[in-house]
Amino acid sequence: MVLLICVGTPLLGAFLLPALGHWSEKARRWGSLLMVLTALVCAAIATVDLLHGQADAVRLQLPLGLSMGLRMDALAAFMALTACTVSAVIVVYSFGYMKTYTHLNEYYLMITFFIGAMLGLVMSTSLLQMYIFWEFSSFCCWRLIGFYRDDLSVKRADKAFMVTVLGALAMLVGFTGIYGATGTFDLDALQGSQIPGWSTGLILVGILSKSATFPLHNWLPDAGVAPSPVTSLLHAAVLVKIGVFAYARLFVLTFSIDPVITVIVPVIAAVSALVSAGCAMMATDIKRVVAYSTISQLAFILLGLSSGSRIGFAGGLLYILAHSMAKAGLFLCCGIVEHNLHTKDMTKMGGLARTMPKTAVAFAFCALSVMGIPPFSGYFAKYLVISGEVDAGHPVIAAVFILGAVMTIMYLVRLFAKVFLGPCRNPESREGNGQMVGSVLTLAVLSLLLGLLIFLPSGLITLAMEAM
Amino acid sequence: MLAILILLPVAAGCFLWLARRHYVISQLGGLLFALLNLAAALRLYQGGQFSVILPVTVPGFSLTLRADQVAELFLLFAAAMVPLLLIYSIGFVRDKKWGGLYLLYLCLSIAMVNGALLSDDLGLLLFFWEGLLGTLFGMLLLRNRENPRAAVKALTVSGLADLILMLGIAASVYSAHTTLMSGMQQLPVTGVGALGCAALLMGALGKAGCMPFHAWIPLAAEDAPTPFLAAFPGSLEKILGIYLAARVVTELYAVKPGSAVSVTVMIFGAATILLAGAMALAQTDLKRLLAYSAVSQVGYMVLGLGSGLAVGVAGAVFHLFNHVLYKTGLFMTAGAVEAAAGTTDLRQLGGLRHRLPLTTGSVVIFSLAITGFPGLNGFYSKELVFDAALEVNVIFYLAALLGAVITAIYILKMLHSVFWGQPAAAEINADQRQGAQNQPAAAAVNPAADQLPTARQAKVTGRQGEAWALAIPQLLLALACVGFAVGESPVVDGLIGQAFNLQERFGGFPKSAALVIISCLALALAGADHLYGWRRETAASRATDHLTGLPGLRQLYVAAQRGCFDLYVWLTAGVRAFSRLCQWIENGVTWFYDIGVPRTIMGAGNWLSALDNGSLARYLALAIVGMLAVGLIFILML
Repeated sequence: MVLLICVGTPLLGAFLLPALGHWSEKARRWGSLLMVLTALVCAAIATVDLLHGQADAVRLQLPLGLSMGLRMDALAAFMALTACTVSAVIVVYSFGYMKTYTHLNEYYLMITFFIGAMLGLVMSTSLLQMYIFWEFSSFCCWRLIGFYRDDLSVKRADKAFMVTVLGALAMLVGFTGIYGATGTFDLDALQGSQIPGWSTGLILVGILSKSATFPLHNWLPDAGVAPSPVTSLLHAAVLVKIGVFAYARLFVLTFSIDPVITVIVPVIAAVSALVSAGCAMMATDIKRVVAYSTISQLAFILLGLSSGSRIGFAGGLLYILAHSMAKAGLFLCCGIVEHNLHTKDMTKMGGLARTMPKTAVAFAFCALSVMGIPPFSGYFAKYLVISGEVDAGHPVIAAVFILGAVMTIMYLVRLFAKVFLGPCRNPESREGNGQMVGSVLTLAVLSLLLGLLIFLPSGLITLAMEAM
Repeated sequence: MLAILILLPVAAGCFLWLARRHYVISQLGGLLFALLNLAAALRLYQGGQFSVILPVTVPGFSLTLRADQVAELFLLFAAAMVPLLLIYSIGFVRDKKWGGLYLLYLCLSIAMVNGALLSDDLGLLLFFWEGLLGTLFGMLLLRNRENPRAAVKALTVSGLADLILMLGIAASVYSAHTTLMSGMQQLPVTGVGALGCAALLMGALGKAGCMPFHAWIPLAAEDAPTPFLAAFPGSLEKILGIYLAARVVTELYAVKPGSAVSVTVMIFGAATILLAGAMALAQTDLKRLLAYSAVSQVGYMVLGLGSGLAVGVAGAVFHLFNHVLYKTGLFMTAGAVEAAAGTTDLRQLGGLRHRLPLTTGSVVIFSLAITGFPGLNGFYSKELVFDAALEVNVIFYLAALLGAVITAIYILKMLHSVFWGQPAAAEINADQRQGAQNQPAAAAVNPAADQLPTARQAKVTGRQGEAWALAIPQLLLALACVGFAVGESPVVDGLIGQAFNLQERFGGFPKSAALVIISCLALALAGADHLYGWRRETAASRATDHLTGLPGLRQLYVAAQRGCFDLYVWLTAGVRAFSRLCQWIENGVTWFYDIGVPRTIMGAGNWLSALDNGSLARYLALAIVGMLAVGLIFILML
């Protein structure tokens, strides 16, 4: 029951928001936040149940080996809690950021609906259901990237939609291959089964396109035309994690795959990490730098999950959490800067630490976490991922990722130094409003606290590792 | 007890930050904390070895703190430095706006150092180790938000070293099947083990400031407050770096004397001594000179440790202790000079012995110690390193000896030009004129020379007289130098020998009289050279000009100016080239998505619609082609 409320509240409740919006602007905002918080509380309750050894589940059996259902396990709990926490902060940020724009009915509808779709996806018990929620999320992504309705936004939105939907269709064909071989879409029934090689390949295409991995990554930097909270929620914190989640769910926890995949995927990830890091070094648009950084860090996550070692898997999961918090914070900080200066070009910025000290501190904290510097949470994740890859017997790939990590430090320091340090070039700039600054500071502090209290998420991660 | 050593500095940092406006309370609080920290370290040292597993679980880590003899020794030494660093820092940052944050960062750094020294788990060690990077970045930014070059460079270069260390840790854990250092004993240096050993050593020596990871230190010397230099490149980072390197060489890996790893490390050590020493010769700024000197001295420790011999390890660790005492002292001296005279430009300084008698007294002892003057602590440790170097190869010995001559030359120049002589405005002008003509390279490696405040301004900004908070720590350090010289045997054989379980005894006067005589001759040569240079140029601050103009060295400075020895320059150049390649690839991918695919689809559409022209014959032909295609697919499927 708690799972149905968890998924149903944002998924169905989202359609009430336009009605609320006609009545009052405030009701729409708070309604949206309330739905996300309800989902968060329900996810927390289900997680507590899980930690006490009682896994919540709902299931509906259909003919032809089809089924539907929701199930809470360690991986789902981990993803749901991460997604809901970050989403709640981003929704609060939206209150301040979005208030001057029109089409807010659609905005809150899509944001809330997306969170519902995400929760439905992580708790899915069948492949087909996963696919449906997957496409829901793509649809939300399409509408939200094109939020400003100008030609460029619409074009970029179409591009993102095309790439991710084509990837998803490839994945669907892969799923049908599995159905053809086993006669079921049910994840429990598929536990430990061998699947055809071509299915694996097609599913990987879907995963890589959703998690913006080279060469299917190109839509993500272009999606920076969307409003910053959208970029933050979809293209840093939550949506892009769907792909890596699917990898963990399908290839680590469900199917038994060919060991060669544990080499091919890390190599793809390594190329993706380096190429995107190089692009981040060259970009001058602040949101593009952060977007390329997202692609690079997603490669680290994928490396951890695909390494085949338990330590790496734990690192990958922890990276999802640490990266969601920190990268969401970075995008939101970029949003404050962009909102204020009306430009995204870092060559026109400088010395903003003087006029926006709180944003600068929040940005620094989040950047340090992404760089993997202790005591921020990113450190543990990065260490475990690298450790896991060496543990899997691939020190060379680990060394390549060390290069990627060095470049991460370099491009983030470059970004921070150009925007916030140096002589003040924008003396007229001012700190963002309370909701925006409060949100970024919350994410920055969470990044720090998660590092200091790293044992808190460890229970869930250990549980997920045991399921391997 | 172990947790206290980590939590206490954090609490102290918060306290000092909150009490930043009250000088006396800060001093008393700082002193109390430092003494408690020292007492805890001492108690631990007396209590013998034990370990604690932290009551939390994190996958991939076995969070274990362990106090064994090596850790306890380094911890005790670091704790002994803390009171001096804190008293000096609190005195220095008095009335400064950034003082509170500075002290907070300093205390957090002390917590990190304590934590790293006490960690048995390598992942936990890296947590504290790399944590220093955050505080380092913060401290370097304090005064330099407008010009953050030192902070950016430090974060990048040290970040690289720390990430290499991360790789080394991962490889060592893989080789040893445990994350605990206590479980790693004499791992073989082959395969993944070789990667682990090399990466651990690179990370450790990078932290200690060995070339080429030193690049940020001279820059920090210009931009950062002096207590930072005393605390970071002067003591804490060296202690930490040499601690881990010593553990790697003596305990974790079986590094045999003369093996590839050993020789490579020694080559880096020798190169560091000579190159950094040569750079120090050309400096005209006191803090930059000391910064290069700090890098150069690390070379001796690296040389000693790299030898893999017991005498080398004893010498390296003893040299570390001595170095921390006198180099921290020298950096503190520079701070006192800056506070008194308002500048650290050697060409403007002079005759400070009258205004700063206590500082002068201490600096003479530090100088004698660093040059390896017989009877002082630096002499004993250098001789031990010489022994080790000679045993491996005479070339290493000669490099170390040449390094000692260079050290003595630049230290004499520093001592003479700051504390003796007269500050002469005419001299500066003459120097600037001549410098522009004769010494373009030397001037170029001294960017600080561009903004010379006049001596008169310096007097106005400088404080009169000697500040006690700045002088007392120097005096104590000078006393410690003498103490380490007098009690050399108990330190080398008692403390170091026992901690590292060395079988032989290395204390007492050096066994080889010939080596001692050669060292004395080297010092005499340096003295004679200084006199020659001083007479020739008629100014102590230019006493090395005849050397820096020598062919070979001149080219070296030009190369240094171009950034040939600067890892940061290499790194940024390499990354920039690579990034350009990536951008090119990305442009290709973007073209594919934005132009290639849409154009192909539109083109195909146009072509197909062009086919549709109402001609019956064409429709018939298309229908036949279609049927043939369907048939072909059927045949293929069958």
